[in-house]
Amino acid sequence: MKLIKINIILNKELSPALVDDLHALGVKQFYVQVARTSILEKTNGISNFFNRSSLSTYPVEIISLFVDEKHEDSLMSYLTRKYDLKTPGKGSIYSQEITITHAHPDYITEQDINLKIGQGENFFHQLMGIVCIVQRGEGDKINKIALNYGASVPATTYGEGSGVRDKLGLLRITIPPEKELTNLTISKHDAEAMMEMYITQGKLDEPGRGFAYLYPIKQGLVNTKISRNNSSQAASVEQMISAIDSIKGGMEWRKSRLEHDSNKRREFLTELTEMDLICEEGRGAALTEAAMSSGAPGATICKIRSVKLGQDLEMIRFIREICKMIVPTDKVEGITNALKKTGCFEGEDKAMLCTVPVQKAFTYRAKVIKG
Amino acid sequence: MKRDKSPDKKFKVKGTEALNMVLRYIRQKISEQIMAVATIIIYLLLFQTIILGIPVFDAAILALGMGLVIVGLAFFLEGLLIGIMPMSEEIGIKLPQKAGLATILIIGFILGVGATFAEPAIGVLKAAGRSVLAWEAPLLFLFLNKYSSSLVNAVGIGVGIALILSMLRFLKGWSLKPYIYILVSLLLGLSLYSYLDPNLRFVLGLAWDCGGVTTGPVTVPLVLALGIGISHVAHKGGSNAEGGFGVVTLASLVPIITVILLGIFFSFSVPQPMEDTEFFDPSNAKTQFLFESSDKMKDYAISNASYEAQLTLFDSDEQALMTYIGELGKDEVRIREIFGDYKAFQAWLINNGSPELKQQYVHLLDSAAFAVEHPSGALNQLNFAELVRRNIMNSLRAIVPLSAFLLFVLYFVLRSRLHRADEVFLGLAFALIGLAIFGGGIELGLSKLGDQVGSNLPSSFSAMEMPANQQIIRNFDEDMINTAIRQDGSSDRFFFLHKGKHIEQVPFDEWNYDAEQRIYRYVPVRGPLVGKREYSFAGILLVLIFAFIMGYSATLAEPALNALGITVEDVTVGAFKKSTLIQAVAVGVGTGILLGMAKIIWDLPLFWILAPLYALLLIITKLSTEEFVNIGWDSAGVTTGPITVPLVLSMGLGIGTQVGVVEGFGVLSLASVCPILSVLSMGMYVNHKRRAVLKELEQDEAEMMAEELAL
Repeated sequence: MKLIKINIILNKELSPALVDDLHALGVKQFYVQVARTSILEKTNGISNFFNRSSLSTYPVEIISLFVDEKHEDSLMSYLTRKYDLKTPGKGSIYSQEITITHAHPDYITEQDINLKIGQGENFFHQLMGIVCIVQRGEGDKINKIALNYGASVPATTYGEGSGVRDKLGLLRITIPPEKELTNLTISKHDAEAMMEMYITQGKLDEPGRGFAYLYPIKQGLVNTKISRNNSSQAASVEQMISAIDSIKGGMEWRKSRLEHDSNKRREFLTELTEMDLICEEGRGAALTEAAMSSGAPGATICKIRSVKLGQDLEMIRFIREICKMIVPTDKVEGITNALKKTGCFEGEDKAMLCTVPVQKAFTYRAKVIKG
Repeated sequence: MKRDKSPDKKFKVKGTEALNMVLRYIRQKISEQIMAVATIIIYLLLFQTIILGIPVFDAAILALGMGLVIVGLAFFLEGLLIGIMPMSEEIGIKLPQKAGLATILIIGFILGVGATFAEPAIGVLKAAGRSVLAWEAPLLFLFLNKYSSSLVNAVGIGVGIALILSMLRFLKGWSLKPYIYILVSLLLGLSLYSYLDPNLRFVLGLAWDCGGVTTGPVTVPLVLALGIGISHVAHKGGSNAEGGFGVVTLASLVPIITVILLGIFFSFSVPQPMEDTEFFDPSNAKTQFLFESSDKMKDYAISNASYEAQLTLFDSDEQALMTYIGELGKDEVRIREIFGDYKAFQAWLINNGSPELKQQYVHLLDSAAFAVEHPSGALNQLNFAELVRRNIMNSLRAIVPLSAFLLFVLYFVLRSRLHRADEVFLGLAFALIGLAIFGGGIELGLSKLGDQVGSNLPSSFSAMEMPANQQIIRNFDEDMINTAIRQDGSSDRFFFLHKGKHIEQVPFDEWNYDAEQRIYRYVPVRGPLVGKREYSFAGILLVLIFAFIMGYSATLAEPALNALGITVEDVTVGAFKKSTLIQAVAVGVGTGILLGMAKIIWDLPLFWILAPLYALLLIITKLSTEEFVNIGWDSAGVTTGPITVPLVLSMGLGIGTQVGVVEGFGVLSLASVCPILSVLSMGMYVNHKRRAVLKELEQDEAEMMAEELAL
């Protein structure tokens, strides 16, 4: 089933209101993930002298929901206006095209949204997302790369990785499973260069550093407020950038700032698919093991809160796990079958599987010597 | 589901590579703990050698102890993180899925009561009340001695109730705030009532301290993780109970209430505080209630009360008293039981003994003198086998019953199994090993060093006797005594003592002189180190500053706080850093211990310190967000852990004995309340900053709107 996944990243103080709004609009099920954003803290004095920019972190929540394409524009426009997402710093919103291949009957994938379509907002269409998965504690180093470049504001979530680690037996305890996932929305034209900066500055080309991948975004808005400043100017730089962005209808005009260094030849992983398996809490580890035995190289498991309309029309909250697996596209079918065999789409595991195309990915790979 | 276990799927790691991985892992864990413990160790060593100017005794044993503390902490914390916490969380997640409300509440209650018995804090409380005298605070004395098991029961029931309340809260998604409002108001009311009753007043400190010490280094992470799991249960309404915090808060507050209630219950059958002579008057029937038998009462009087009171107990029959002592002195075990050691017995003989009695035990006086002249090394006194056995037992008792109960619930009540059982069991083994090593290390290292500093600390503001260094001087002659006259005409007697290389003037105290045996008991005196007068402000200030820094740096190493910090960072996805929390709590604990020392030095009433602090807390709680209320109040329970408590106790005892207060309770409760204040204050600041960012945006927006309108 082809659907649209809408993601809204919003300050934690505002997200309860959004939850109520979605309820009022007739959204029957959506997901909330706790995250943080990091922005540059403009510092003065001594720390300026040492040229050290520090980060301030703020709690945000990533709210995501699956809707039919016909609701996409109206819902996104409504939320953008209501939460004023065009003002830099308020948050961001973007949509992805996804496919739900299997879903436990517990999940509601058809939403009845009663929203009158007014005039739609203009969204950028030339966007891409970059996710970088690194060891816990390393996330802000990656965030700093994005912020210093001035791309947009990244959102960071926590997860636990499995993969090689689980094949080590008890020796696995020497490798901490905790990961950080940083998610950045960026202009399509800058995406490659940004990825290259992640690799070089984040040293992803060294073993055990992390994993980064690019995925397409259908449309959205980005949060450009990358630093705190108390400027007394009529408009902040971010506002001007944002204003020009909307006049130009995109971010292409900003492109020239980053020249892609084509001298380096990277061996990217291509023809990949992101498989997102949502399941009952505590079951993710076992299910990803099944997936890995049929060719999934690894998985990152995050906690996600599901908010669902109950029978008495009240919203019920509970925790689910979302297992992100980036797998070669030709293995998707085998993995799906392996998952199906576990019975997770019918039984207690209450799983739902959706797939998203991945443009390319990068991680350190040991040189394979043929012989 | 079947797991593919074919060998080619397993990752082969070469022996050397595996060794490298393990070594790197060990190095990282150990260095983390060195960082955590270094502050407090270096601080205590520097303070003792530089400020107090006392050499460090038993340096080799101390170093061994510190090493054990570091290794033990590394093991223990890793055991918590890969064993106890994931296990509890997994069970917490499954519990509401597979068990009914009643089952969950019963399990919660058993767990709460069990936790209290697994990590009994009664030893700590007894130590804090070591100097409590039966006639000065009868009810408190009763709780610490005859009825100490009732006290533990009351605390256990309190923690059990707290767990029931917490489970209900998680299952329903209720806010913590109303719980706090109700419990704290109730507590303050009960405390006021107790404060007005002369007997209950002394129990107040004990009750408040019970709240802090009940939550030990195993219980806290365990209930925290269990709470996280349970709070994930499906529920309607707001997200108030998310994160699993708040159990520790309730487990700290409810036991205070149950202990005060127990106190009120017994307050009617206990005599009022009185003079010891009146107390030991045989016609006073109520006092007998405090002791298990009349012999115990006699023993207690002999080792603690004044000579007059002892005589009263024996119906003013001096001969009967001397006979009793004469019998008692024949039994070495009894002497140790009653007097603690020969020195105290010997002091009693010198001061009170009849000539016949002294004659009877003349060999003892000699042998005591012999012992002083030939001090045995500390290493010989240490019973290593006993120390090892005791710490292994403590560790087993703290970890095995609770874990076994949880696993029983998982396998037999929920009929489920652990996902990564091998890892969890390895973690449990780590926690066991770690806690045993850590406990031994604390005894050998940290608390020994704490004792050395703590017992000498009062010398900074007051001249203090050093009974540990007392010497028996034989062949003492009254001709050696000189007289010095004061300007006002009164006179003092003193004698010259040849000490090592120099000759010192020592004031002569008749009390310590036995003319017949020509023995003088010489107790050296030190201090005051700062200022010329006794109790100079500068000297007390030094103690208070010491208390603050000690509380601060000891807190940095507390394992339960570490576990809480990791959990907080996890739940907030790094928006609330572990280090931020630990810093805020450490400042709070430091402040609390400072206040506690001030309470002891100036004998301030605990109620009047606690009541305003809690009243203030209620206001701040009202103004704070749910997130910070949960985290802030929980940090109160985790602060008083195995590192802070012995240090606080030895310092409190040192100062308490010097200034002569009835009881040294209250320091721990102050060390619990202040961190709540500091964390909530920090929370308000952080929230203010977050709101400021949002506000900035509103302003920007307004400006933009204005511009658009102008166009």
